[in-house]
Amino acid sequence: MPYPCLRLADTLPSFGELVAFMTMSAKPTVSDVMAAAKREGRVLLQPRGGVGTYEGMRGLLTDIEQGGCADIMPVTVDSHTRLGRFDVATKCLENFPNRLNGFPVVSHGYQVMRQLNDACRKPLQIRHGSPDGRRLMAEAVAGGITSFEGGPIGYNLPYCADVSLEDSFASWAEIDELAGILTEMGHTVEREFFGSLTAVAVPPSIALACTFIEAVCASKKGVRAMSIAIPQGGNMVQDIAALEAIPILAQRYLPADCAVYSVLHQFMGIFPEDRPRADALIFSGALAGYFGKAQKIVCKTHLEAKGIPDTAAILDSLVLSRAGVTGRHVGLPLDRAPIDDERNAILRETQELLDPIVWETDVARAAIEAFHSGQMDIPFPANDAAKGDIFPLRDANGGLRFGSTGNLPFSKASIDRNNALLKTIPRQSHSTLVREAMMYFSNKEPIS
Amino acid sequence: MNSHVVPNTKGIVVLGSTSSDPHVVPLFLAKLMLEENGYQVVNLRCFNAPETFVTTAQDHEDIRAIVISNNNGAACEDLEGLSTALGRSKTRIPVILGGRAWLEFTPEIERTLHDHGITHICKDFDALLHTLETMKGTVPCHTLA
Repeated sequence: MPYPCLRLADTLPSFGELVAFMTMSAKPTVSDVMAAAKREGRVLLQPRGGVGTYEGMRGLLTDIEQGGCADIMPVTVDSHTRLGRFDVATKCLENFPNRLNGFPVVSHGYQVMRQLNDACRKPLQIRHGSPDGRRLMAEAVAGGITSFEGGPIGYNLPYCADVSLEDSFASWAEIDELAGILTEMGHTVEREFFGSLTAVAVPPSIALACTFIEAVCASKKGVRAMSIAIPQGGNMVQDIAALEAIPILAQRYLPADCAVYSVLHQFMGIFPEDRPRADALIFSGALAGYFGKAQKIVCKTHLEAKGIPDTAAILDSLVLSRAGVTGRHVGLPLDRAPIDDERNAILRETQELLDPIVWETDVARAAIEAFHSGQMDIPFPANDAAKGDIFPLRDANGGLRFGSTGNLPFSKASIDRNNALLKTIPRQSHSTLVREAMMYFSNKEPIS
Repeated sequence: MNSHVVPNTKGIVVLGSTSSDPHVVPLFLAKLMLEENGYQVVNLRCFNAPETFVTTAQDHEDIRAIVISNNNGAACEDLEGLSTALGRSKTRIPVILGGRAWLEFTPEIERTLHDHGITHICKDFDALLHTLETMKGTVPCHTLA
């Protein structure tokens, strides 16, 4: 029987061999450590990181692990592999490995992944950005990886101009099917959904709606451990509220036997260039994750504005984030009223987006049609499968709101609240305000 | 908050990024700004071959300009073939380039872009708007805004 994803290459192991290998593994899975974190109220940290060669990647992971602050190790994949250009990635690996901006998992193959996995005590997760990650998924799970990021919306619309939603939903259904089959056999493969989208000022309800559509589709294929990842927007009240919305939405939309985890990506937009402000943003992200009861934070570094960070910067940011997620630095009680109000508003918006889609028999089809009609949308999509009629603005407190709600099916209550919060911002053109919303943390003015 | 409603009376602008450039956010920002200032915008988004800009422009009447964005420094390579496509076109259309289209701007790059058919180069959104507002008719002229 041709198994999902494993059917794509003769070089991949048989399903039987894969299961035998997973049975022998003594390492904790990503799902194991996420479940423990949830049980114990801890926030796990995961950096990003990937280089081309095996030796370089093993060295990077070893250095990060020895730093002591990372709980889940990253394998960030290179751009060629993300786009399915495996031959280009292989040639690059052979001739110019330093040109690769990540680890070419398919070029190395699953046997090398097993060596890499064995070199670390902590579990590894694949982080990529492929609209079609099937081969990558096969090599990854065959290599001992127990968590795979991505989905048909978050890894398509922000990045790809020429991949239809029909194709990306079909590809990711196969990935979820393999994860579901393995889960059924007692080998949990966690799936993480990428709500950061274009990473530029994404309103929380949009991030949550996209990830929950993907999560519902995955649950129908048998996936039973999943992370909903949303981006830090930069307003602490809104970030905490958005994280608090995740378990409530999970209860409404996902089967009771699904383990659902909350993940916060530290700020994904335009970062401050100077270290003090970059570190402040990283620390505030850690605090938001702590107060919002996230199970994991995916960390940024102070070098974000300058390019790919070095190992020292990764380790520094993990220490800084660890200080934040202990909660020891802020012993003040939270003012619950604004957080509760914001969470309820996020829940209302998200449910207004999701309800017309996820109760349909064919959720993927309903989602695709919603994107085509603008009933579901994201800001600034690369792909014209989404209309891109919505754009973000920031209110007077830096909270992310809608400058235009396009054709989203929001109620009058949701639109009125959104507009009321934007009433106090200066009267400028929308293009200026959108630019200011994006550049919110990259101000170069002296700190006074 | 509703978008500012400005009558689109100043003509159509065809907008998009070059064939290797995934940066889509600047395109949406430019679209917003142009619409606020009275232009109608056809946003082709990212990864466009040179001929796509020209054939799209030919499909519309009242074309004011083609505006090409490049933010990965590959404008010279990506725009090869633009001059051929423009040559096949029966109308002369101003072609404006903006973004971070090179690592270091040199006279050689300027010549290459001019040879490809770029008529104006703009360093930011304000320059783009100024160029569109001050262009005389549709006769291309090569200027650095």
